[in-house]
Amino acid sequence: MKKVTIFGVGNIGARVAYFLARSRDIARIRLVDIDPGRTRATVLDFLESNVALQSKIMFADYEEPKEMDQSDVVIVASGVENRVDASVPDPSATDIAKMEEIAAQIGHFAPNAMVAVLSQPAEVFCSVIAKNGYLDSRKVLGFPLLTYREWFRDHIARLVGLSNEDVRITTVRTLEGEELVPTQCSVGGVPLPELMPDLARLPAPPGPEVTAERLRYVHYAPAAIVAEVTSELVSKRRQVITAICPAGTNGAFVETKAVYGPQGFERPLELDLSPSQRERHEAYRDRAQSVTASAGSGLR
Amino acid sequence: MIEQSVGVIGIGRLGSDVALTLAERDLCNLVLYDRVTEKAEYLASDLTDTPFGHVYNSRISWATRMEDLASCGVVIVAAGSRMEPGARLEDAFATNLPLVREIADAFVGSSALFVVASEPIDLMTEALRRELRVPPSRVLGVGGVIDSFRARHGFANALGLSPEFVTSHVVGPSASGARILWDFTSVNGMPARAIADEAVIAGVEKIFADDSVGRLQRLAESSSRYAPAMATFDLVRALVKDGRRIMSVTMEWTNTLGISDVAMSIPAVIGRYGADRVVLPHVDDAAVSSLRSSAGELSSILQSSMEKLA
Repeated sequence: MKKVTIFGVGNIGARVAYFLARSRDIARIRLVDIDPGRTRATVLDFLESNVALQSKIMFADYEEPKEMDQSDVVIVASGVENRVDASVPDPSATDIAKMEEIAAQIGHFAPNAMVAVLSQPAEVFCSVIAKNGYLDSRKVLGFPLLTYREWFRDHIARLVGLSNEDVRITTVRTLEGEELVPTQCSVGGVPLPELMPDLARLPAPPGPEVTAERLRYVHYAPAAIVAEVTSELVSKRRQVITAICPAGTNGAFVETKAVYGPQGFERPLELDLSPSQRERHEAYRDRAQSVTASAGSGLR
Repeated sequence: MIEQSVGVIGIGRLGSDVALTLAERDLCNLVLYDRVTEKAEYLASDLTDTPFGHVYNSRISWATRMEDLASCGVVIVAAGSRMEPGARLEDAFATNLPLVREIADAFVGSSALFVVASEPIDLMTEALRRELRVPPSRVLGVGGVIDSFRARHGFANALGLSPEFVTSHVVGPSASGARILWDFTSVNGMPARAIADEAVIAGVEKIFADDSVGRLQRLAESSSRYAPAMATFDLVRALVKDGRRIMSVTMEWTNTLGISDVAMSIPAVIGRYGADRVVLPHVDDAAVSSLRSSAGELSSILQSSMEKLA
């Protein structure tokens, strides 16, 4: 049975733990937070809820670092709620130091784990963690801006009058957020343009105010996605996901759709972008690579 | 307490596994029926005693008369003989056709939706639709769902991918004549052809076709029917939960690609009223011609068999 460690037990981290607790593949979840009181309270909450949840998972808090020993997947969710900025801002020295500390723990206790980073800017933090944990960069991945993705899925489902369960989207990252790639989206396997020939009706990305509101209140959908991808990573089955992976120049971490297998990142997939989308995506890649370089976190 | 009731006609291997998948997921109340009443009674008792590991809300009961299922929202037809390997379609149909008349008589005036899992699924679906005299949207077969499961599994397997993210659809007669709709096949939104080259696709098509032929032998040897049962569950869930999902189902075609009055697999939007609308697949002229030929064969078997029944 598999082990998962979650760094950061805020709104997202705790909910990821909830969804993972329902998985039959995972035997142990370790929660870690900078605030030990919050960690202990959350662990106790889970242990009591197990009566009804009927989860067989053991929870351990951060006072037992050895509990992280040989985790199969490590999720880094520290500071997720309030720090999502699509423009790839420079991280503070404090945040980088925190990530270096987390990386050291991962490198020591779980050097073979897949590491999934939600903390933003994930492009930089993935690089910091891979470098400072002496980890194989193929096994480190960052999650895209999930709040945009669920917003798109929900709006598309409403527009075409079908279940959002079956909406699969492809997005491209820009410095303004995520944009849809309509020809690489589908509903129940049917390409989106077949169901909605008038692509002008497609939802525009949410503006800054909506995004800020969503970050404050929307936790379950992003957590469910993280748990779903984590379960796949645990199972070591090959999957196609949008992730921040070492697909940039000199192995820099940038967001793209990619194939992930048992050993992590395998290859990026070609996105069907319009010329203007390609231009905006390139601007994002340049920015991500330059912020990573200036943070002094180029890969080993 | 769950209000929606689903009836299962026929408690053989398939009917039992269908009942298990529905009971395990606590989706609906179950009413089981078999000509041999003890089969339904003991299965109801067996399932009620099974510890599924969750708080159990649905009721499982059995009926002594088929008419007692008339108030169910959905009725699953899993009765009849299974198709033997090498059997002719018309012979298998002739064996199970009397069941269709029996069901039609028992469900006069019922507003139930019907899910047909009895073989041969295309012919049984069309015959039941005709005998019940209800719109095609209310009588759906699981042949298309099973074939789309096979397509998903085959494609995921060829690429070493998790099948969970693979979606695929099929069109045409169940099993041996089904065609994978590659334009309606994707991996987490990415079109199949953006991920796999033509050689992979051709390989999957060959495995799919070979498996279609070998499927009956496999079913004859297997002591379970989990794949057909899960396909049935998936369809029933979309109906009971008003899923609004696009699924490949077996249903009567109505002037689709010039084909009418014969049931074959086709992608459709499935919700609480049955199949709301067909999502027309892109098929080339050669495929259309092949589909018309298959439809002609099915139509001819239907015509002669139903004349004999009359």
